[in-house]
Amino acid sequence: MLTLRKIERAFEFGREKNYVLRGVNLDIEEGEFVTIMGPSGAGKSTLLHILGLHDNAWVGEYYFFDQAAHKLKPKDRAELRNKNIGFVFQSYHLLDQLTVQENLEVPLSYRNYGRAEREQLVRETLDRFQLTDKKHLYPSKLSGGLQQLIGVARAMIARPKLILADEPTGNLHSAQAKEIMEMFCKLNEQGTTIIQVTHSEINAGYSRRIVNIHDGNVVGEDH
Amino acid sequence: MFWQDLRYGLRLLLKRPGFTVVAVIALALGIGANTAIFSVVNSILLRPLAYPSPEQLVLINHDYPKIKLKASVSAPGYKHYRDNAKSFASIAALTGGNFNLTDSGEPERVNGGVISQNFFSTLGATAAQGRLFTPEEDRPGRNKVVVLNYAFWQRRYAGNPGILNQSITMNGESYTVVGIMPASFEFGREFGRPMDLWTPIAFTPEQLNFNRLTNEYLTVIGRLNPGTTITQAQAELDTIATNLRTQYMQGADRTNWGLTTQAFSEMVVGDMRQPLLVLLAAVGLVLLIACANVANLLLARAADRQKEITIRSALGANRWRVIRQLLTESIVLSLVGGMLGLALAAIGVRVLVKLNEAQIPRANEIGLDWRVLTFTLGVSLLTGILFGLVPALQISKTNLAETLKEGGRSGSNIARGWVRGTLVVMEMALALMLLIGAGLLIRSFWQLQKVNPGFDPQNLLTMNISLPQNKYKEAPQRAQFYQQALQQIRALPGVEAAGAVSILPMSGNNSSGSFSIEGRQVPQNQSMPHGDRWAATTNYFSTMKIPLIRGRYFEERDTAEVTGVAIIDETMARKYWPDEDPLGKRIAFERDDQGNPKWREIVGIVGHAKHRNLEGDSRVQYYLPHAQMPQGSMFLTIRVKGEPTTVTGAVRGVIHSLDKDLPIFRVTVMEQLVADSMAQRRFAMTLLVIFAGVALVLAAVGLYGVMSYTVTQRSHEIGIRMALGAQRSDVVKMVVRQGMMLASIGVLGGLAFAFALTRLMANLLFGVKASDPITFAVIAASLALIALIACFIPARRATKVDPMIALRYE
Repeated sequence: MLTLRKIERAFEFGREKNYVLRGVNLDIEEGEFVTIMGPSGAGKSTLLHILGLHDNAWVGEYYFFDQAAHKLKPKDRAELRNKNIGFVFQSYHLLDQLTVQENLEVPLSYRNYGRAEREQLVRETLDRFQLTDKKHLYPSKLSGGLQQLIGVARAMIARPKLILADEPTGNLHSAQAKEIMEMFCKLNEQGTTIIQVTHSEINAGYSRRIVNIHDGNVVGEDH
Repeated sequence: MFWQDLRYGLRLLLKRPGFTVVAVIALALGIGANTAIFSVVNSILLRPLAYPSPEQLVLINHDYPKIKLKASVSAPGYKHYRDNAKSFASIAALTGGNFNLTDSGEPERVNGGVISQNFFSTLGATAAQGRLFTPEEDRPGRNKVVVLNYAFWQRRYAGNPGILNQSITMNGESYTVVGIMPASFEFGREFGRPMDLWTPIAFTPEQLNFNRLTNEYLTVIGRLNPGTTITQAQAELDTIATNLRTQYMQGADRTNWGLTTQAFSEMVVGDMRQPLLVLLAAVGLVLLIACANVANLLLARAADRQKEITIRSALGANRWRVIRQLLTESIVLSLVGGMLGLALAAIGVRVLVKLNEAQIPRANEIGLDWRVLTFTLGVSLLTGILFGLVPALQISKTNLAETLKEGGRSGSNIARGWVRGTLVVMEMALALMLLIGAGLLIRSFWQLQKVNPGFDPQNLLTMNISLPQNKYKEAPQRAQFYQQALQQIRALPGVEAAGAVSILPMSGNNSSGSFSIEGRQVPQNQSMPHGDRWAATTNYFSTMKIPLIRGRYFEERDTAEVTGVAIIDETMARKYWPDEDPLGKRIAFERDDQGNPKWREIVGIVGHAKHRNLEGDSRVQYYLPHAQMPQGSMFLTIRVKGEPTTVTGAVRGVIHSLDKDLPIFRVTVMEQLVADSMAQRRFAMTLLVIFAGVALVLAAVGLYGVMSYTVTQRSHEIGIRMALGAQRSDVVKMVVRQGMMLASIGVLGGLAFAFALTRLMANLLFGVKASDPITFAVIAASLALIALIACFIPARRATKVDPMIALRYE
């Protein structure tokens, strides 16, 4: 599904160039549940943002199915992302001024769904994640666990093939974290490919493959 | 404590020079505009006239209500009111007297006042040197004395006191200088007709005969008795008028004649009151916009200040103490803005007066006095409180625990956003109102310029000549002088045509009179036909290009020896002969010694020439041939190939070759006179356009500022949205939509207010309705477009948000 070859990413500070990723090669098959692990500053989140096509300033080859993402213009990359990828963030990143229902609708509004279709998808998602009774509430009124559940629901609403999660349980206590990880497993079983970045060995245990990164290089894999 | 707040406030302002400069400029523009207009309003409307108890001074006029004519006063009328009206301590009379001064220096045309002996005492004035007129000096033969205006004495005689009791020659006669007025006495200047000197008026018994009750040429000013109101005086004059009508008037005049009073100060203000009040309201709006702008800047700074205020609160400052600190800072800001505004106003007023001196009454008095300084100080303090209070209340509303926990991030951003939005909506609405007001005035001015004056003002040189009565006593002398002068002028190179008329259109002068139509009786309850009446030479109409509609122009054969003739204008033809041919009909405006009408045959009908200005309808007009009614004072009209002033020297040469002592005055080109007739309108329009422009810039900057700030505030949200799939165009749309929502509410509100308020300026408009849909639509669309640009710039910046960074550094 995903093929990365010799991916490099550097940040420039004045004349200095600091490499965050150096020649990363990685293959991920459809339906996998992969964890990327490594110490702080190893380049995990940077890799995730490259996989999520948020970042355009890298070099190397990146194939998304049969599409050479590295050859696409930014606009086409964005289209590829919108069609296939959902995101879950550590700090949930829900929009404070929108209700639960409206937050779920945000990704759809950027994907040319008609009004009726949007309403239906929101309804279905609220139902699926058992959030219907919370739909009119604002995020600030909800617990961290619920907020992240909405974050996952929002990532799923446009039916992506791939979910990228950056420390999805970093702000949650263990019981809430467990619920979220079980939700990921369920989604994975239903066919969604999941790639998460985490420091947690416990959370990593939910995945079937662990990719270790150190100093911008893939240093090993555990299955 | 206060000094500590002040010091801290000043330090903060110096620390943020960018913010301080922008805020001070906005405030200086708002306060400066208010100070400038207030100083004009102060001089014209508020400051009392420079006479003792000026509120007692009243102007008395003859009134013809049916034809809406407020006329001057006749000599017998004046004497009668002076001797009989008990409401007045004294009543004085004045008529304009222009003299040709031909003493040792260059011949000069001087503006004089021919006045009743009690004129100065009525105004409460005394002489600075010498004396005023004695009661004996208002008798014929005794009146060859003159009192000089101070400025004229300085200019013409270099302030030489030796001129007292000396003789000067005016209109060929010798006058003795008996007094010099103080510099502070500038009668005439307050209404744009400064006077150089004054001589006594001397009525002959014939002039005082009641059969001349409606021969009106005197300006009459009365001083009310202390404690008497103008209403009481009017009631008494009404009774006097009723008695006079019964005793001396017959026919139509009986029901159409009366006396009317008006405060002298009102006459001085003239038509300026409404434009000034509109301008005062306009600058008030500009200041409100400036206040909203600075309040928004302060609110934007609120986030920076939150931590500091929280720490102050944690250390024991109560809310009032915090508000006081913040208000001190805003007042410091407004006082600095006020000082700069005062400087701007001082320069602005000087430029304003310089450009419009002739059109603004009491222009010489406009300046900065204690009232203006108090006003500026008051406005500055009020402004400081106005724009400082809302941010102070917002910032001081601190939740200590929450803010300290958040490390200074505000918890009340939503409330602040709402306040900022409201301020921008208000700015937009106010700016739109001003722009619509300015737009309506521009449209009016444009319409006015399209008005056909009825003659061709291009390439026309005009000038005034006045033949002294004693030198040109006989009518044929006067007729011959102008005939010769015009003949020689026509022969000058570059001159295409030349003529003369007793009163020139747009010159500010006029003469009118009633007339009879042969064979028609005026019913008791109707007034006599009345119209503007002028004497014109043979080539006047062709020189002015006033079209001949039917009949003929005046010709050489229309001499004093033949039957009297007249030319009427098309409006007179339509009004009095709607279904007949006026040619060959006869009119009369004077009677012979036996009391029979002196009939004149109508020989031509010409186009109507706008007289006072291009606005409104002038009265009906009729002309008499100069040869049959030779006037001493005539305006020459000279049509020139190319630039008209090129022949001025040559024309002067012709006049002086005929009479070397004749001064030539009011030399100008006709286009200038037409332009001058619109000057007051141009004055109001120019100022309103400037103020509306300032308002527009302030409102646009305000909207831009708010949207920029919003983008900064929302960069995290924008990052999330972009991470969730928003394209750049989505982000632009989102920001622009938010800004345009504010702008649209402002525009809609502004339209509603403008619709209600522009009605108040209906009197200032010409050829356009106060609710003119085109002006409303074009201005609203233009403002919306400018708002769109103001939103688009921050919106484009919003697209530069990098979701990776926004998400990582939440």
